[in-house]
Amino acid sequence: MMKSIKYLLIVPFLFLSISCDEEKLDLYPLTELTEGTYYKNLQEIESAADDVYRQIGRLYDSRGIPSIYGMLYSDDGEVVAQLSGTPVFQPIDRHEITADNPIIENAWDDAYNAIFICNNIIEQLEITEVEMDESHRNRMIAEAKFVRSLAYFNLVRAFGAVPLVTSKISAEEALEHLREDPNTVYDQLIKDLIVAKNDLPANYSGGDVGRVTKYSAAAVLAKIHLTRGDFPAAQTELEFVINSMEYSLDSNEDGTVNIEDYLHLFHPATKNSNSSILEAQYMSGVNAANSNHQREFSPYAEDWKHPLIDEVILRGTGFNVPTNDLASEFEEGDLRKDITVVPGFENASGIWVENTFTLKYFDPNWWNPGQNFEIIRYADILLMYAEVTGDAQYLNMVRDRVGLPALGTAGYPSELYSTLERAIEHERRMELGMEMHRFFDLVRTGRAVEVMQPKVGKDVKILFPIPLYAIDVNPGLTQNPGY
Amino acid sequence: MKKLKNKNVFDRFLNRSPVFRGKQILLILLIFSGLLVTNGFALPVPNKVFQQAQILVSGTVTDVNGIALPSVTIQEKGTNNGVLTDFDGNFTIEVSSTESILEFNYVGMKPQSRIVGGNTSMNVQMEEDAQSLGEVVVVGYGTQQKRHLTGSIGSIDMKELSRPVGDFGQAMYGEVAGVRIQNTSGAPGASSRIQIRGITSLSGSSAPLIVIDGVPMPSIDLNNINSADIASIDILKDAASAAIYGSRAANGVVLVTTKRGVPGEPQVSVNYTYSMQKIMNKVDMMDGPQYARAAIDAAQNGWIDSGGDPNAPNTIEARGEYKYTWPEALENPQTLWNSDWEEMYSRVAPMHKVDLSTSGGNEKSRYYLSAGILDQEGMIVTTDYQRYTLNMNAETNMKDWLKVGGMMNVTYDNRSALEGRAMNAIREYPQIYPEFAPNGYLGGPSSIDGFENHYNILMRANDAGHPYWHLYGYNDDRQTITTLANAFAEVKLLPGLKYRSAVNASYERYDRKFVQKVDAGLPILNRGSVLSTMDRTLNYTFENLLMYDLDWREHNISAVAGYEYNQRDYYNLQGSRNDYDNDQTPYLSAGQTINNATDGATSYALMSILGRLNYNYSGKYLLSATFRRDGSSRFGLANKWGNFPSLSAGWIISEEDFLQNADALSTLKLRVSYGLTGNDNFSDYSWMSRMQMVPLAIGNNASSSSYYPSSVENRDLAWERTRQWNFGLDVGFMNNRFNLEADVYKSVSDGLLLNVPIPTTTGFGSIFRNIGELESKGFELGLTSRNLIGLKDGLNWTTRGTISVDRSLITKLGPNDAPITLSRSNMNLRNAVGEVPFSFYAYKYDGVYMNQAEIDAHGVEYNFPVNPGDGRYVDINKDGRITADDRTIIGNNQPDFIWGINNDFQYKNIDFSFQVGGQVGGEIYNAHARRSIFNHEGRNYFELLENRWRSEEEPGDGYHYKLSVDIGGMEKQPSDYWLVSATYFRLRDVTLGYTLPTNYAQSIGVSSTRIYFNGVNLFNWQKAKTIGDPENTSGSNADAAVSGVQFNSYPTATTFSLGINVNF
Repeated sequence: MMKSIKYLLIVPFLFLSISCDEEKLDLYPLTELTEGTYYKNLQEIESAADDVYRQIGRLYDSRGIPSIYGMLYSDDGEVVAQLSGTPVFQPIDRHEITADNPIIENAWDDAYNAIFICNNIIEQLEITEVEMDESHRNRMIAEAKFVRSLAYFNLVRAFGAVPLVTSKISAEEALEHLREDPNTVYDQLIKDLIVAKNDLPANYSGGDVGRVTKYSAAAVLAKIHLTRGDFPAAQTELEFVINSMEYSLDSNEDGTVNIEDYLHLFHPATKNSNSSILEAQYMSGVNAANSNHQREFSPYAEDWKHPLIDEVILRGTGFNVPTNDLASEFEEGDLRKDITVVPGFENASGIWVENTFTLKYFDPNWWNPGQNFEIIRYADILLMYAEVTGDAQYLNMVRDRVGLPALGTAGYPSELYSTLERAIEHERRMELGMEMHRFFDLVRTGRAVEVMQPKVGKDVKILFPIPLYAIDVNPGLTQNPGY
Repeated sequence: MKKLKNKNVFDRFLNRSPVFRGKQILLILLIFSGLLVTNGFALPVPNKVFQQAQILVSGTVTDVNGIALPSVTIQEKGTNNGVLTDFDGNFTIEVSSTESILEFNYVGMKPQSRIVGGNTSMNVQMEEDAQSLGEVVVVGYGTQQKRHLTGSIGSIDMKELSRPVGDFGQAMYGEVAGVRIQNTSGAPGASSRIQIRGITSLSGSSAPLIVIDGVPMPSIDLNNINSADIASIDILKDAASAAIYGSRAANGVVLVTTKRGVPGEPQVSVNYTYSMQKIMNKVDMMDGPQYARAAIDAAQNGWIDSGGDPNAPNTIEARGEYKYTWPEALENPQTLWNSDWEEMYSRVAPMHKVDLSTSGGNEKSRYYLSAGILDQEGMIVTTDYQRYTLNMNAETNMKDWLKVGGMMNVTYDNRSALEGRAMNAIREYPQIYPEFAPNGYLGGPSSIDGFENHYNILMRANDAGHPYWHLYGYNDDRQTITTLANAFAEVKLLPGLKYRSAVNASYERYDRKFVQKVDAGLPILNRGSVLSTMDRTLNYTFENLLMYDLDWREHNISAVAGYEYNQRDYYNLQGSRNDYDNDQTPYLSAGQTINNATDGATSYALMSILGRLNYNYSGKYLLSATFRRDGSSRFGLANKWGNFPSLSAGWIISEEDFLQNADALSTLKLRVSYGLTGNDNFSDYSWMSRMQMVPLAIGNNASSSSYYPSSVENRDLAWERTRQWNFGLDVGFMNNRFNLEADVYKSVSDGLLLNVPIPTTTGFGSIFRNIGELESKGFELGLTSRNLIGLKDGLNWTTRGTISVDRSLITKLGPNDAPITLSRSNMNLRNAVGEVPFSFYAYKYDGVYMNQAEIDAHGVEYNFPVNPGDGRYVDINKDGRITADDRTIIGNNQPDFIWGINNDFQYKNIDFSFQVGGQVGGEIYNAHARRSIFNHEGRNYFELLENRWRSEEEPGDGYHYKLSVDIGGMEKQPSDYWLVSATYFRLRDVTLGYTLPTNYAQSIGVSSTRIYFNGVNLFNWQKAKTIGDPENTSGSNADAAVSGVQFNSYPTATTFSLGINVNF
């Protein structure tokens, strides 16, 4: 036994061989970066600041607030699908919404996530020690404030009073952020957009084209003022945009203004044309920033053949297809109808199937599309300007582009649209059909109940419910009436 | 149609006939010959060494009751010459002289020595060792006599199970109180879910830590250890026993010990089982004519509720929308098909299992070597499973102070799994369609005349529809290789002091190829896609232990102290491509569009010191203390280390003098323990906030990306902590003929980890936090009764029973006890103070409004139009309206109790056993019911809905509301209409065996042969009509939130097996 004593010596050796090195416990992700080590140089900060542009794409995604509130909830869009989409989309279409509707909840969550991302980069830009040009820093802050305003503008219109968060907050702090009066929210937006208008450039060149400009900020400001009924303020902002001479109805820049310019706007390759004041940016191709609109707004039908792709492709989601009501409002000879409402399609067996859909979101790259979406375009500016000034000539500029008779001339259907207000309402629906404006417009002009009630046959609620889940998590939030 | 159906079944049967494929016969022969060769060379055969042996001694070894003892070691003292008794306790040994001494050893019995003398026949009776309750139990980092246990540990000796088991979880079924074994699915290769003593965690994981021969395997698939290689399973149930595994032990620990060689002649064992599996319980769906009528009802009801004239003609002109009309053919369902898909796409499926093993050894060295093959076809066509296992271990006493050894276990398995929604399709696709329509494409509205406009109400063949598409349009092949290995050295340093150093390692590799075929029977070709994934995990542990044993007078001390380092490196690679031209080359390379190519890598490190001290005074007073300190890479910066102590004590009262004369009472023991365990079973790096990279577009700038923070940092993230008290009582009467083991426990788990929902105004939906407190109380009872003890040839009958009750309640939640509601598959699960974790939270359903008068009488306002035949819901808060505030707790998945009873009979050479068991209480959310009943998207309905409300004249059973294509309103909201009872009772197992008489066996050259029949799940009774098996669980073992949520599971099997076991 004595000889084994010497083997005692190996014990401490073995223990030491695997030392108690506590650093072994400090393990960090191998395939990702962590926030703790981020924001350390200009390139990293820019990459985080650019993420606000992805947020514009999310806010105006096929399931974002403008899509489900501005379009599906209105008389423009409807759900034509029976399967899985039905239980969640159809109640919005039919005005039978319950507070636990997951589509509305997701749109709410996405908007607040976008706001968080803006708040976060604003804070990072304010505290960073990385050296950068002051105007560059201000531009990035302005971009973030602009996108944050856009998110709130949609929230406040669809939900009314909403929590107003303008900094990074903890879960505990969030419980204290309850619903703020819409006016408080609007005051904040106007303040932010004025900063944006000052700090953003008038235009960009090269790879930066498509970023927001001071005119984007002015256009959103105009819409806010219009929504609040402040016509003079709206007029100032609209004039700022129009007088800049940056924008034109001649979107294809061939020197003539005609239906081709209208169609050019919806061409998949058209990005950030001279008609575009604010545009959601997407990119076609695999693993790129794709858009969802085309697939989600296409017929939920078997064997459907896309008329422009000319092959049988997978069905769409079938929600937000144009209503017959929208189709029937087009005047005889209005060529805008052809692209706004396609009445049906030929299926794989060559049989004609009646099922409306829109071609405004067309991209031949069906699987990975990337057509941009125009949030505010010049025709919208002109129609808003006609609205605030009461001057029909701006309305007629839009009609003239597509070869329709001017208001006040023979051939204008004045028996249907006897006042300028009605004429503008009609024109906006035709010009901007399926572009997520309709319900916002009806609410803004106080016409929502009057127009929608007979069409849905139910009480028309102006506001969406606050998502039930948000109330479950923060019981301090109140619900909108009727839910 | 009928004819075609039978032909299909017959064809498939022939294609996969239950005979071995040539390849496998070869493989088996190869392995078998390998084993024989190993036997010849590996160790000198003792008999050859003792060539001069002259005297042949034979006899029988029994216990005091005359029951034969198999596997008793008989060794000629001072030599390597040794044998084991056979199944009947018989032995024959050649000894060198009459002076030789034979030593008889058997676990739990007093050793005996006999001088051979002139006896050539020797019958030995062995007595139970008073110092032992009969077994040695594996505890963490060591073993202990069961008699001296102070915690609560359940043990299964695999030798005592006469029934064959699938994955080793099945071996525990009904055997150990407090352990709930659930059959997750009947799919070939699916493994059981183990849960010890209820839920201790809200973060999800309630899976115990599994340790195989000292290798901790937190994520092992139970199938990847061949149960035939397992010698024993020990389950550390209470916190005090498990605390030595520290931060991984809160859900209990399962210690698996594989078989070792025993000294003596080489043993060869061959086991072959042939089984047939058939579906235990089909879910009854409507047949063709029933569905046709239901579809008409749904269209008509939708039409009437939309204000239509009930008598309007069934035309698009009259009704405006196709969904309010139906194909004329539905009115004459006899002209349609009647395809019972579950019948059509299932089969009686054969399964083969072969296990070969050889083992042996002498005083110094022991070895065990085995190989196994399992070949299983699935009951649903296109599924199957094959598994190949190799296992070996050896150890040798190189010097009297040095022992070295090691083990290696390799498993390769291969399974063809079902595409995720295949079972849905089989049950939900209407039976009015044929498999193939007359035009050659799959049967469905687009291929049958007169149906083409109705695909929206009659289900489509594409995509979500036809079962053929799901079964044959996809391939999902998965392979795993699991390798476990360890090597150890044990050094005797001083008398009583040992040092052990071991390296334990496992390597798991998982491959999956998921193919969506281009051609799946539809008129249009699919795009085709291949998803290929590869996961690998290397997990290794260095273990250094010092062990000290001291017996001094009445004091017995045994102590362990150690240091352990564990690291796990995981890597995953994934690629997918789309756009295939054909199905000939289902590999990534053949796809035209690269969809993604991505990988993931994580590392985990755990550093620990641990110790245990056991003390007993004169074998009566027992005391045990353990301690572990864990540092884990998963914990937040501020909380890297945790301490996990435990203390337990026992008193063997029956050893006291005052009970020595109480003859009836043979054992009386009290145990009490308290311990602290942790749960670190959450994903790596959870505490950090990560920057996510995403593609970005600005203008025409291609290929740029942006970064955003995708989670919230939590530096305080720590383990979940469970403190548990356990009180135990062991009683044995009449020489331990009746044994009772009872435990009560109470545990409090705090610092519970949960993805706590937070207001999304923060930018995030949840934060991973230690929050809340959970209290569990439970009671467990295990009973063993040897009802009849015959003599050697008499009737023996033993009954074992277990019953377990566990109640878990949430006692605290977050800073302000606000309830946390989660959503899973359209059902809300609520964690609220005073409630069972993950209670179902929804509206309360109250039957059908039979007529308008009932609606008026109820006087409750809904947000939706309500018509006769719609469901009635309870206005919980009595405000006259049904709103979200009327949601309430409508049930939970916690059973009232679970139970199991085993009966073993033995008469002469015949053995018979049966096992019954089940669960009482608890609810299951049937997500399938929601899809089928509520969406009305043309899916088939449960046959149960034949009792639906059809009209005031035909009101049905008053519970099932009417069908409608426009079902809306409350019927879309989760309610207890979607819940079913989890109560069931099952004849789990019946085994009948016959052992060839020894002399006959020997005359054909084998030492023993047993032939057996086994039946599993021969009888099942369950309350729920709309699910196949209440035991099935969805999702992974690791998500407690979904343990009560069931989707369409692969059916559970009733299995009939015939087997033979031959030992040489």
